[in-house]
Amino acid sequence: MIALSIFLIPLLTSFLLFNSKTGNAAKTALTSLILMLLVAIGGRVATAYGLTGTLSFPLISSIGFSFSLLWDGPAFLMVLLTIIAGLGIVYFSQDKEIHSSNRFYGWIMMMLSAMIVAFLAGDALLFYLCYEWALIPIFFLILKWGHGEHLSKVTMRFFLYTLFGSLFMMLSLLYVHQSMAAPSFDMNAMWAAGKALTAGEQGWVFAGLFIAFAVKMPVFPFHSWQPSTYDHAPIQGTMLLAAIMLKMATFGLVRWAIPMTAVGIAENGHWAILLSVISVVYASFMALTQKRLKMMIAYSSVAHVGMISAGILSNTDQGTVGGLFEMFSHGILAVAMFVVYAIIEKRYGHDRMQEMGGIRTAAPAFAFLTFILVMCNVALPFTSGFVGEFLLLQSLAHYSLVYTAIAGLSVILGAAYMLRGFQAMFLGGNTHAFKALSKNEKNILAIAVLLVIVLGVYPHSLLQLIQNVY
Amino acid sequence: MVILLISALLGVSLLALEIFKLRRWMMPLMVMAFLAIIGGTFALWGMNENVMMQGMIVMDAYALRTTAVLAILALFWLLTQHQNIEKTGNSSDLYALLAFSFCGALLMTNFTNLVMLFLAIEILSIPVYVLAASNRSSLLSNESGFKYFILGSAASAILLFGIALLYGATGSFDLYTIHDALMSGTIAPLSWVGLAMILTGFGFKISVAPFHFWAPDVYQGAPTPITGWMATVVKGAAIFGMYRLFKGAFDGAMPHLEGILVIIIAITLVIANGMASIQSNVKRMLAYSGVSHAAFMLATMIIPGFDPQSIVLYVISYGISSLIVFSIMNQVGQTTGEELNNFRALSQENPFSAAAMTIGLLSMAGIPPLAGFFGKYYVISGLISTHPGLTIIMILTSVVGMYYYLKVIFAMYQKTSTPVVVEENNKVVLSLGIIALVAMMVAVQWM
Repeated sequence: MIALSIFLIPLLTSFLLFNSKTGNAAKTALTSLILMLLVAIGGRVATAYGLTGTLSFPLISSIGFSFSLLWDGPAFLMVLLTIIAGLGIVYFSQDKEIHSSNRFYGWIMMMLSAMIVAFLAGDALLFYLCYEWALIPIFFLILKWGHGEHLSKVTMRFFLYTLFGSLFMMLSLLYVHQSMAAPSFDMNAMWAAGKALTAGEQGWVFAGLFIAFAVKMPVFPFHSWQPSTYDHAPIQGTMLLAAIMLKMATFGLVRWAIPMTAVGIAENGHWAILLSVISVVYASFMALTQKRLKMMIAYSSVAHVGMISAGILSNTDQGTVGGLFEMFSHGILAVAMFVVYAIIEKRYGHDRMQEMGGIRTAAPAFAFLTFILVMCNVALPFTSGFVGEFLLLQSLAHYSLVYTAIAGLSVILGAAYMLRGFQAMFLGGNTHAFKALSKNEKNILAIAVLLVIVLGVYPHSLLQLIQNVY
Repeated sequence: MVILLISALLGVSLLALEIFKLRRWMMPLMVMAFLAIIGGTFALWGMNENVMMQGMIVMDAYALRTTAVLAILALFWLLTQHQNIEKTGNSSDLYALLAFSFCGALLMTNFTNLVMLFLAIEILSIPVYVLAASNRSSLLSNESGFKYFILGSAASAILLFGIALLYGATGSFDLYTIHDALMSGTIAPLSWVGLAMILTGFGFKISVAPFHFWAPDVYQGAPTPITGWMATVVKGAAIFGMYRLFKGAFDGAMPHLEGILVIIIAITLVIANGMASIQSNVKRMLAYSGVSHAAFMLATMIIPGFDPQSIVLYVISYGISSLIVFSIMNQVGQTTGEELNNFRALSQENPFSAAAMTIGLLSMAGIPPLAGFFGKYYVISGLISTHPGLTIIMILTSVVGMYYYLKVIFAMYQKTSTPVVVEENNKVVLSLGIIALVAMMVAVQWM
């Protein structure tokens, strides 16, 4: 029931928004998100007292496809992230005038609903359906509210690229599915069927799954759609992509790839970890060379995600827990960093870092909040970034010390590009008038900073949710 | 039997209504007839096999299912297109021809004799030759009808020759006898030639490579409502007939034909999707996309076992999506034209039409959770263990397919100062179609 209502609320809100002409769309979306947050937290508490949050009813019994939603720790964590990030995105967009805003928020809510089902799915086909369906809302968000010269080309590339990847996931899932005596897409049945395959078969199944996830995360060399899409998308679309959508892929690794094909990964999945590590280093270097803030954040996001992927694929308990924790932390950080970008871009009209300077003198509070976010980005202890990164590196160390050393470079490189960027934008002489932050902007950054620090000082609050994932 | 009688009498009564100047009753009569046929199939659902007319036709589970699908498609076609047919001024002729062609379509699902098959194909095709040329003032329409007639007759002749050869080899027209003859031991060379010719004939009818050349010209030239009819009901009936013939009667030969079919499917997918992606005319693009869907339908033949669920689902999901698309395209085509540019900024003044077309195209492209996805799902899941290479070709060409469908969607959602404004006259029916596309997920288990 809880799981059902948590995805129905945004879906119904989106239908409501599509069909109503007037009214304050942002307020409606915000109300619905707060309601979802209450239901999610209330549901979590109620589960502790013995209420079952899961749900399952068969849709196509002949192929064992059922609409089944789970309500366990990892799923709850990702739903919580979706709601919090969604709140941040909608709350932030209040300030901006957006043409035909009802539909804009309608698409956002529909996307949230699709991603929530993907996170809660206890059925492989349901996961796949929502993984794909989430593309449609973001496609329209980018196409209708994006900007830039080559918008349609960029949107087309993004859509086809991600679709192309996920079709391989379908092949893999189908291969596992047809190997069963009594075909079923149920999670436990899929896990058991995956484990029953030979290591060679598992390697292929994993390859299909990883291509799908690698495109979406993205991992080198499947990342070429990402910088241009982030650049052309409206800022809310970029936040949705970076904060939540790519988590469907990393979460897919935890929930589907690892349990089904653990042996295959150990024996034939070396290349995937190698790609993830390369991705970390490559993206860090790319971030170092960027002149524009948005691109720097985009590449730093690729580096973080590569780390998550490498840590999860090394398949230890720390890796899984660290991966989930880092997903949450990165989701919040991504929203916050893009808010910082949007604030600066709005005032300067561009985001070329070298042409700015001295924001700290004009807006000290903003500089302070941003500095903490930057610190979290470079994984300073007592921020949430540290906890996740540490666990992931520890897990990777079980797999290979060399890889750990290489991936650890990213922390240093991260410090280099982040601090250089911060220095260029915030320090130095004041050359440009800088309007003070609005109340909304300040609130959202303050809440993000608070979350980042609380999770860094007391990570146990989240970690206890995600012990014993399997 | 009653079902066939209804469909046969329908055409005659439509002509009679014209004589008695009761034109306005034609549309309700057709709706009632289609509903009666759908109702009839449901009433007979689960019945034992019923062989009729001295073993010429059979009403079995397969025939009932496919009859219901064809009647649903025909009904949906009628509801979305009747205004356009009535605008032409000679609606009684068109309706009567359609009813006759529908009668042939139903026969395609339940023949048990090759003679009956040939009759069914001719009853199905001949009215459509006329319909394709029914816009007499248009040169393209005349060309379309002529081309369709010449090539269709050639295909029928080849098919008939194949039937004759098979008769020569097995000594019977009866499907059961042929089935037994092909199952028992070696297959005579004469049978192989016959089978190859029948395959060629059907290849023309369902338009798969290398016999697909007529499809783009004929689809583009024919009036759009008729193109919709050809792409859904006619193609569906042909593929249903082929399924019964190849999976039911030619069982014994299928293991040997499989290699040829795989090659045909692969070539069709590559050529059709490749050609579709370079078209600037949406109708022509849809014709090529229809060819690629025919390849998917053909692929159901090489799924092991006689399980018509995959073919039934594919035909109905493709049929409803393309009828929605053809209906919107007709609205745009009547206002401006059918080039890609004519669709520019459709969403600005006609958000409903643009949304309906988008959903139809996404379903054709196989985006979940729309019906088209489940159509493709059943085909691919049936083939993944026996023909993994073919499934990868299917997946890759699906991405190409997504590309050309997206081009239309992009055009519709672009912004211009002079957006196209079209008349939206069947919102309710189209909404029902869209709901059907979404609800197919739940309905699959009853097919």
